[in-house]
Amino acid sequence: MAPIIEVKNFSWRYPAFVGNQNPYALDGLNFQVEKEEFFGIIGPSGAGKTTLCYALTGIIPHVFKPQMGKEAEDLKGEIYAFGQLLTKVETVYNPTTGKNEAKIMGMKQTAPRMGLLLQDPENQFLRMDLLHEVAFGMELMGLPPDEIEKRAKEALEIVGLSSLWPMADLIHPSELSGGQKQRIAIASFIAMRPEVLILDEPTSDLDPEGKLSIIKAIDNIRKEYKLTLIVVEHNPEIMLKYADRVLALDKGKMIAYGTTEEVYKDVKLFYEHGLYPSDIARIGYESNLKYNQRVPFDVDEALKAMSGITPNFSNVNLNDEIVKGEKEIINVNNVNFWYEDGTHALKGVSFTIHEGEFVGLIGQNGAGKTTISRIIAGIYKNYKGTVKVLGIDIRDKKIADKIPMYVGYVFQNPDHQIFMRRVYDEVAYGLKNIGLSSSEIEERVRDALTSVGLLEKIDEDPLFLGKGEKRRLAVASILAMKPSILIVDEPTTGQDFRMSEDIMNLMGELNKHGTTILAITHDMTLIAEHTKRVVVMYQGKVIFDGPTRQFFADQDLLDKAAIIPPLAVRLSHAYRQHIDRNAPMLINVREWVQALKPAIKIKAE
Amino acid sequence: MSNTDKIKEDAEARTSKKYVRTFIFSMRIGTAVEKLHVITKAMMIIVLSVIALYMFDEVPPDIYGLALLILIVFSLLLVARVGKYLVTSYLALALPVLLGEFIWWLVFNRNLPGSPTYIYAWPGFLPIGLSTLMFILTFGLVFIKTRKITSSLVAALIVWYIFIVPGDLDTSKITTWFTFPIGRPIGLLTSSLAEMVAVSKAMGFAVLIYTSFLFLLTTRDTEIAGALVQLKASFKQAFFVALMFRNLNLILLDYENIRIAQRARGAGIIRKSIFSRIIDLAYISVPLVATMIRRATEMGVALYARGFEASTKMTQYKETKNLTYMDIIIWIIMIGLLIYTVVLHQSITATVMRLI
Repeated sequence: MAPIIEVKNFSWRYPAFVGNQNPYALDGLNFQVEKEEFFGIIGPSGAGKTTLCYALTGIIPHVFKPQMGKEAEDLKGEIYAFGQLLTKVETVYNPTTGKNEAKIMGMKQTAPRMGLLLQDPENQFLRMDLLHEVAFGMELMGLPPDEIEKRAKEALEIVGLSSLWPMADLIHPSELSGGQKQRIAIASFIAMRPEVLILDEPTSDLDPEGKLSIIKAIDNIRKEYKLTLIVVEHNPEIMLKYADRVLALDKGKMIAYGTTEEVYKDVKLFYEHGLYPSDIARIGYESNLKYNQRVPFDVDEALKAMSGITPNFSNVNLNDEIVKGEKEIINVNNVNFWYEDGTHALKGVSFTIHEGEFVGLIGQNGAGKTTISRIIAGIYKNYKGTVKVLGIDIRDKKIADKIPMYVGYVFQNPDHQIFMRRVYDEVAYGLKNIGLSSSEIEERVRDALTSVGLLEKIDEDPLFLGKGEKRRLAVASILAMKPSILIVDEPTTGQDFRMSEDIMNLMGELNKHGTTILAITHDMTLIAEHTKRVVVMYQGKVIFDGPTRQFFADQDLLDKAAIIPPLAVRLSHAYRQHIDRNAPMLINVREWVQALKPAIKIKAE
Repeated sequence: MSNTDKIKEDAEARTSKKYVRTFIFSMRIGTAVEKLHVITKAMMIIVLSVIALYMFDEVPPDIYGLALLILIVFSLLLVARVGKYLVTSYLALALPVLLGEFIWWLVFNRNLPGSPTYIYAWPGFLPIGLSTLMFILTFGLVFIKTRKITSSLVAALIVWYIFIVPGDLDTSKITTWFTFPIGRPIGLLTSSLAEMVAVSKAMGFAVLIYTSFLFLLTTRDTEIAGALVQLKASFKQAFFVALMFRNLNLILLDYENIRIAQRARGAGIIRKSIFSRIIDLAYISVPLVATMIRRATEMGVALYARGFEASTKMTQYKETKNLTYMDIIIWIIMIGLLIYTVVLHQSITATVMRLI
């Protein structure tokens, strides 16, 4: 069977309007996508994944064009879709100028046969109500109204939003959460029934459970409607479970291409290029645990690989004692909060954070995590109950206007937090606002930039920093104000494996040096690796507050909070269920490696 | 579940949603005003404005006519159940404008004919009586609510001032018990007609302002595209107008987030001069513009991906809204009023007087 997409020796660079030429964003790519397959694309930030999606849909070069006169240099190679030429630069004779000129050839438009879903669902919501958002693509296709209605309803059902159908025409985009918008964006394309659907990190705004359910739904449609799926996704579990073949990119070049198994078994390559290997693969790689001559990928394979090996649990440091000072930094007591539309977002939330703690605040989308942290940061004021910072009620006049000096809040989107055009000024901005002397500002800026490793970029323009660097700059800007507690909202969303590790290690370092940290995240692997205490929220209530290990050990609680634990935890559950009921609860890769490595070494000897 | 059950359940689910988002704030679903067509509302702004301008230009001004127009606008605002938003925001903002309008016309038109009237800014004495009681009462109430001395004092002074004006006109000493002479009386000699003109100008502008509010508070941005299509614009043109509203919505959202992020960086901790505060506001443009550029690019891509450029034979699905009986009633009232007042030159005040 002929491939549905064929990429031959394709290179592309974005035109540079000033200064030197840009490097090639895609460099010599050669691959094919077969009809009806689930094709995965992985790569660290800046690898060229989104650029590749643009090229596969023809947006590059038919919308984002190469520089005039430089077509043949900016774009090389060719792409075929549906057996037809999509993109190629050819030299043709121009009778008016009498010269040979480079000309872009190929299909100008791939929609509606091909659909492309981008990462930020906000930017793809083009209409002012839900119904027309889902219907829009079909209206453009010229489908009859009856068919539009039938398909729109069906598409909402597939993405799990059928409850919104009866009032779909009354729902304004601002009434929907990020996760809902993402589902609607997916529904809009499903309804158009394209032959190829390209999804660029389609689930970044969803919690792990939402992620899995939506990918499962899309995969079912793929089978039912004979759809070809091309998915850019970091999550190794999704790829290993659903993808038939995978292409790995870094800096525009192909670093691996083959069946999912072939690509994912090379853990070393993943580490080298900052890609997400699965937790189980990491355990396998680091402790030399083998399944069928390769690292195991999932819990079943790991259990089979472990037969005949007795993990040395005594080697694992299971100390869960939380290092904390006497001083109460945050005290939240019986806090209730209602949004303007009447939603009861917090229902009697209480917890206390002591000096020097590193607490994870977790829960599903809509559990109330961001709401409570915004109350602590003094952003939402109309709450019932009390919130104390350093023992003082935040409504007290002494600190009400000065909360940012005590509670540092690092927001999710670093693009929203950059106010200056020089890294130094950016960090100094907050310090000037609190009226420090220029010598004190200078000292604090240098200290903060040193602690996040950005000192050498002190004179650069923050807007041109990489994604991970922007995130670290945002942390430095808050850190310089020396708050008593640092709240970080989803520090790892949209970041690759290396950057996520990097930012969490930074948090760990800061915590070691005395900074109290409250991290809000969906990433359970990071929680299991870095925090010793979790506060778990579900539908506006705190349903657990205690040691991370204890939480992950309790299956009922995990079910209640609708949280999917990391693979290392699931391995422990399975181990305890099938092999040794009294085995300790290991919750992260490090602990499993500590237990397995010596045991495997002894067996090998 | 049978099909009828499903339809019934869907209808029930629909009624669970009580309010729908409009340009500003939201309105109650299912009211007569919600069902009005956007073209009817636009026509209403034009007709009521024309009539109001005509009425306050008449000599003498048509006060009862203007009162009738205000009554119509406020009734519609109440029917749409947007009163609470009006009170919490724009009613208060519009009142000083209307007061300014009133004073302006009074000061510059006092030579108009009519019986001479004195309007005092200060009666020349400090009255003790009802105004004093109102001062104490207001101060007490506001202080209990806000616990702020300055705000309570300002509110109490405003109420007190409003009450000394009737006090100085009160010759029978019912509302003023004692007086202490302080300063000289400050006032304005004007005429009864000048007062009437000033009142009518303020009323006329109130009609203009509140019909515009009615439009903004009760129109959904999604209705605009449909209305433009009905007015024979191409769907693609109409869509671009709608996309502009969507962008505006996103800009406001980003602005809100950026402003919060700016506060988290200590903007607003120290009291700064107005100039520094303006500079703070200008700093918002760095992240705002960066975000806007990214959004615009991605929206372009999203449009391409849905096949916007390639589409040649598009259909419309529930894009337009039909006129209802309520629209027809409003059209009849508006045209009737227009003919009676502007075309036939009839004054509502004169008509009411005749009837009485």
